[in-house]
Amino acid sequence: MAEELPELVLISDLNLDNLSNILRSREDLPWRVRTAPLDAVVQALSGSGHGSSTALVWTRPERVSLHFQRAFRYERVNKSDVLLEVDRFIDMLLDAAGRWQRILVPLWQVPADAHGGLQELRDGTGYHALLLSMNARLCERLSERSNIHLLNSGRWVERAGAGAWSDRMWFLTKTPYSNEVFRAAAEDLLAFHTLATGGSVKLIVLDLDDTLWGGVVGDDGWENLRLGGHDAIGESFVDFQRTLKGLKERGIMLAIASKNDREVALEAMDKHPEMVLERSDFVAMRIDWNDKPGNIADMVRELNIGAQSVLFIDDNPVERSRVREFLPEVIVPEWPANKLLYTRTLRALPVFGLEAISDEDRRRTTLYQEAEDRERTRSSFAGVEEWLASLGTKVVVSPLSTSDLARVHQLFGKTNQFNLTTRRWTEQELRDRMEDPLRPIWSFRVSDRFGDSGLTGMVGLDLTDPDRAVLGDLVMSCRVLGRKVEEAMLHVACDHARSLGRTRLTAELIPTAKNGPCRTFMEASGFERTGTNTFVWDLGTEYPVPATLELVSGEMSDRS
Amino acid sequence: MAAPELDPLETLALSVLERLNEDLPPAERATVGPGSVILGEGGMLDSLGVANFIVGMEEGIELRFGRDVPLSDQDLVELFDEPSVTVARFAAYLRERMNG
Repeated sequence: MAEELPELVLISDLNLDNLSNILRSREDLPWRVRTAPLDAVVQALSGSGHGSSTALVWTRPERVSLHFQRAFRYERVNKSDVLLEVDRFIDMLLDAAGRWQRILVPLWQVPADAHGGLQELRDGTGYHALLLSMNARLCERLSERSNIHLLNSGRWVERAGAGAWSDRMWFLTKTPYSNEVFRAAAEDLLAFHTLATGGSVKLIVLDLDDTLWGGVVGDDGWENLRLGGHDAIGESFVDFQRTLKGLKERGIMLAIASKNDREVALEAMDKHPEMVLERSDFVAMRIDWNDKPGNIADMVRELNIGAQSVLFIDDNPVERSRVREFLPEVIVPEWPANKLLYTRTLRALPVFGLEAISDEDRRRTTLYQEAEDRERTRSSFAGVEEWLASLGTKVVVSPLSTSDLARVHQLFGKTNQFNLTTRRWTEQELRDRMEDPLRPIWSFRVSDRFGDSGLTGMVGLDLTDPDRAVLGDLVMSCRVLGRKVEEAMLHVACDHARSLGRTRLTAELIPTAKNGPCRTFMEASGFERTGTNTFVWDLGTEYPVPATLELVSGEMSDRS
Repeated sequence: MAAPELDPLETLALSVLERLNEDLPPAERATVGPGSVILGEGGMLDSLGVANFIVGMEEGIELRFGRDVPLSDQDLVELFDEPSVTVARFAAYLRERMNG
């Protein structure tokens, strides 16, 4: 039976039927779209049963704030009255947040060509100034909730250009925007879904010549590359590199796939005074004369990430075409011939999640470099067990705590491959589970002699049925896959269920297109397979802790 | 300014309808041709579709022919007073009006 898609509910005080149609025109739509009755925002957001649904709450500023409406009609109003109405709206959203998987809120807009006279941006009297304050209030107060996301509707209006606003459609159908705006909104909503469900780019693979710097280093020499200086093209390459460096600091890994003599290219990286990116910024480098798709495939395998998480940037259309042909999952954007447009093109790609940054994100390049070191030692051992034992792996298990909530929520939201059920718990639901002894969650931190992989696993039990124990969640970053951490996680789940007198632990896998690694593990886990997707452990027997690692309780361990 | 020929207006109407079609779920798309009924009995457009079409035509006429021909400020059912209006009939009406 086909998996039922989650629901996207369009909640609005403007007519969103055109948006609904445009969304449903997409064959790859990840939602069932439902439109709530027009102008029934409060009613649509209230009630329960929305746990797996996303709400798009698209309102007009003049409807949310009647004082703003008066200001828009050139009356004098008090800013505090406007913000009071905005706060009421925000309170309603915050109240609803716990009942929805996600709430998406486009920023408020008014036509930019509406002229507000000399006062339009004067704080307290101009309506444009008021609108800025209203949107700022949304940003300030809604940022505290991780499942409420503000959407930059200004981008949609800008993309639609002069025809963005349609007074004709407004008076005829209460649709203030043209379909161009809704098309841009639909694109952003789809991109948002991809990013929010783990589809964010994790690795950018870059060419060197005429991509990271201007010129061909093998022909021109590193001294003559166009990079920095009083030169528009040179400046644009520095700007491009700075932007890439910023992405790297936000946890996006960088790698190189370049057809060049390695030593010549590395000399340029090391010696050119205007080079922003350094060797250590790259998690992998393939600088040789081999085919790029093969090199990229090697890097993807070594880094243990999905090809769909890779962005390939190359100025050469032939190379782009080859990568598209041989690695169709890799994202290969069209790249402008004009080098001055590189940074803008990169920034316009809706592929970077850039969520609240965790320690793991910040250290991602280091973590993968450690993983590479770890793998490199593998060949020097006769067997896997011996190699695993040599790593000195330490797994620290802790009950879910407030300090881990952001990372745990992020892992639940983004992990697809090693994920038993792919349930996406909201932050509020996770908070509730912290207090619920019948639905406990544990987090797992993994480290070894090569480094600290951080919080990389979660196990959740459902003990609400007194006659049995259900493994509701088994989620792990693929970064630590194959080091028997997953077995330690099962041990913790079994041990807890045993301690409560339960006799069997049942794991019901919900298969998806991506969670094959979890299925493979469960099939080899020692659990008895009692159905196509059902696995059971008889708790009369202890589920063993792997001998190759040390399992420590976080309550007794110094996590600093 | 010389009035446009019938064909360009019919072509414009068809291109507006095709664009609207693209913005509909595949199952709700209609076959579009000069004989397609757009208003009245058996019409391919719902009320939102009619509004989208009329506004698309107004904007298209302005863009392509530089003419301001208001359509959205009147009741088209009353205007035509016909059980159904095809693309060709609508284009003919527009030509007549723009020539008038």
